[in-house]
Amino acid sequence: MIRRRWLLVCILLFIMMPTYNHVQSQDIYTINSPEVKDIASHLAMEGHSEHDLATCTTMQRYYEEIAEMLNEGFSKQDILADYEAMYGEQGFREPNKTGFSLLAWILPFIALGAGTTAFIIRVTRQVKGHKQLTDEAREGQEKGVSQDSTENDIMKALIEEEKRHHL
Amino acid sequence: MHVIGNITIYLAFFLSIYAFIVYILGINKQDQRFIDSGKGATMGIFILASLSMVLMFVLLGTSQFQFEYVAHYTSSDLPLIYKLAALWAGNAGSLLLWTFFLTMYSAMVTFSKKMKRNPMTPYITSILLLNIMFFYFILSFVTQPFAILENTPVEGRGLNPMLQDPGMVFHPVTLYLGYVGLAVPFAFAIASLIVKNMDAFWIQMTRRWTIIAWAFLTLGNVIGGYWAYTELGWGGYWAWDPVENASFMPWLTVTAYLHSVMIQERKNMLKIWNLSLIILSYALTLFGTFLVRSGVLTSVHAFGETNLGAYFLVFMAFMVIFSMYLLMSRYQLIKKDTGQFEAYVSKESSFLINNLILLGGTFAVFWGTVFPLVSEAVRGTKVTVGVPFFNTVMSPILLSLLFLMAICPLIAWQRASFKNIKDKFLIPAIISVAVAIVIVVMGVQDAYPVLGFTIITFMILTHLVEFIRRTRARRHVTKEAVPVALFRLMIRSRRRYGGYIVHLGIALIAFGIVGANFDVERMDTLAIGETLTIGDYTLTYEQLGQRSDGVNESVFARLAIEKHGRDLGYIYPERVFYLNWEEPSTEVAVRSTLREDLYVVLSGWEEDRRATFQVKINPLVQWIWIGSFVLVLGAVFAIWGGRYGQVNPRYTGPERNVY
Repeated sequence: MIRRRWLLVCILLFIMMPTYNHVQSQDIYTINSPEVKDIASHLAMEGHSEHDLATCTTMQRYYEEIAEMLNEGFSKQDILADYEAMYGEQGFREPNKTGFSLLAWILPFIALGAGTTAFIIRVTRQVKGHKQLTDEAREGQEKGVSQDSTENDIMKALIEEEKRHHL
Repeated sequence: MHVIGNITIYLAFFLSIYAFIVYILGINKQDQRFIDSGKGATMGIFILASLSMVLMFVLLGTSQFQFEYVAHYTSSDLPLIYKLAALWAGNAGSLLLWTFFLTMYSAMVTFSKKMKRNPMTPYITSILLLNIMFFYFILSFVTQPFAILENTPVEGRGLNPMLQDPGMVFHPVTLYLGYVGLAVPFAFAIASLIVKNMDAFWIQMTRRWTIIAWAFLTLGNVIGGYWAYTELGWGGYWAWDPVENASFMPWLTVTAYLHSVMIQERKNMLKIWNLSLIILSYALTLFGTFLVRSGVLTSVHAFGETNLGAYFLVFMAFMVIFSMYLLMSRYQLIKKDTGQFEAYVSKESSFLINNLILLGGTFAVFWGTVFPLVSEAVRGTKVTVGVPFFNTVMSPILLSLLFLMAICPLIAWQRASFKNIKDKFLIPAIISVAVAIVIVVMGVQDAYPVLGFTIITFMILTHLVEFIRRTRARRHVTKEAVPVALFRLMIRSRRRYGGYIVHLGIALIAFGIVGANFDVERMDTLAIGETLTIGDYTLTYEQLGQRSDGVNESVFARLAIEKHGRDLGYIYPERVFYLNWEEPSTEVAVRSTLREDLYVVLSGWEEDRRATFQVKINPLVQWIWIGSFVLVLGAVFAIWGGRYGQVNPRYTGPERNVY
């Protein structure tokens, strides 16, 4: 019985271990954490997003702010929503994926799709046209062959006649 | 000097008007005397433009601060090379350089041996003269390089420290040579439309011009990337900045053009497409100039807000409308005798898909660049369209482009059979899939890097297989040794193998770009003797020092590098304080290997000598520069003499007397 209990406790500890580690690691977000970098990569940072972290104090302030928020337990979505509430769409380095801004994302692919469609239509039309032309040419060639063979036969008959006549 | 400088500008402006008029008269009256006079004037304009350049260099080199431009962009303590390079640091100087290149190209075309007795020459030169007239109008009345100040300052304002870099000497010059070079094929295309001779003549005549312009555009972009990489604040080597995009767009369209012209030359197809592509490429160069000069978009490259952009917009609109009118009016004529697609899978169709993707990419870049303006106009909100947008949209487009580059060159003309495809692609495909599996097993989980490395491997292999296959075929016939057979094979078909080398260069560049997915960085404040660990590296902060560099003062840090316990020496990041500039400039320290770059920035320091460092490991970056070198090598190989280069096509249009 005691053995079983110990086993149960060990299994529970084993299951909880990764969770514990996870919670531990979450407590030490700094400006060097990849999670901070990931969130920061979405923000326009008052126009400083293209600057370098090493020399831009505004950027450094944002990184520290994000690290602080993560350490307080906010998720990525919470933090981004917070910035959106503060600055709106202009606070980000990319347009929203809703409303008018969605156009920014989809128009290049619509254009590519339209181009592909036009390409397929054009090639299909030309390939069909070419096939038709080739078929017609083949038919013509066949006719030509039969005509030629008739004329050849006539010619041969004439030559034979001449040979018989003179030789 | 002021008078002489202005005379060179005004005289060249009036001479360009004169040359244009006499050319038109000569063409209309079919009178050789007018044409000869126009030719003389064209050479005169080039000489005047050269004089303006020399004069400007003298003024800059000797610090003549009574001249507004010299006072604005130089100071007496500036090294001579940067004093001279300041010619393209501002609006007036860079436009003077642009105009000089334009007059140089025009003189080269007009007096080229190949164009001798060619009746199309007056038309081509007239189109180029239209451009020259516009640029001289700007230099004469809008932004004058030889304007003088009322009061001569004792000292100039100096050059922005970020511009005091070897990149400044080469980046703008190469980029302008590329930009301006595109005016030549454009002029040939428009001339062919005017004279209603849209056969492959203009394409064959401009092949070299276009490749040269393309190679310079490539070089310009790459040098700009390298410059950005070593100068902080410019976002690594590529930041999808509006002005970077402006030079990338014509690069994409010219790349498309260089591929589709092969179809016109071989199969007499895509005539309208090729004309449209070159018109578009030329228009994009003007659009780029408009972006840089107008200040409508925020960019690190912009020359600030001026009214120059409006002039470029009007000129671009005029040239595009004029070109499109010509194209439409000749539409039926061009359509006549145009070749047709014979099968779905063929080199022709694969090239057209390649064009489609390149154009799709161009549109995506264009749309992303102008979307802030569109959004502001429609909704009153100027949104930011930055790196995340371009990376998301462009990644699938550029990956599909790489895939097409792997298969396009090896697909047969007219109709590709299944056997043909299997023979050429089976082994590379199997090896590439194996590489993908190895990459995944090694722990790379993101789809894009895995896909990227797989496609790049496939691309390199298909090209190598082609080299091997053809060398073997040649050896079979000639019994030559392998190196001899390979050398002769390449030398006898320079255009084809130059193209393959370019493709390999692009594969290497792509290899470096995909590597950016694995970069790591950290920023730490260290006291003397403390260490910082990043990846496999351990950096020990040993010293913070100061030194004088001419009139400038530098603060530098010394860090010892260790990797896996092995001593790799020292690295010295620094900040330079310029006499005429408030902000210190950051000089990064980079330790490069083929595998990765260790990139160290001295961010700041305290009185107690604690210093803050930003350290990055940028994997595979060196391959971008190596790939660029290979790419330019391929372009030079493709245009260097050879069988194709010696072919001098004849003009086959209607009979004309003047040439």
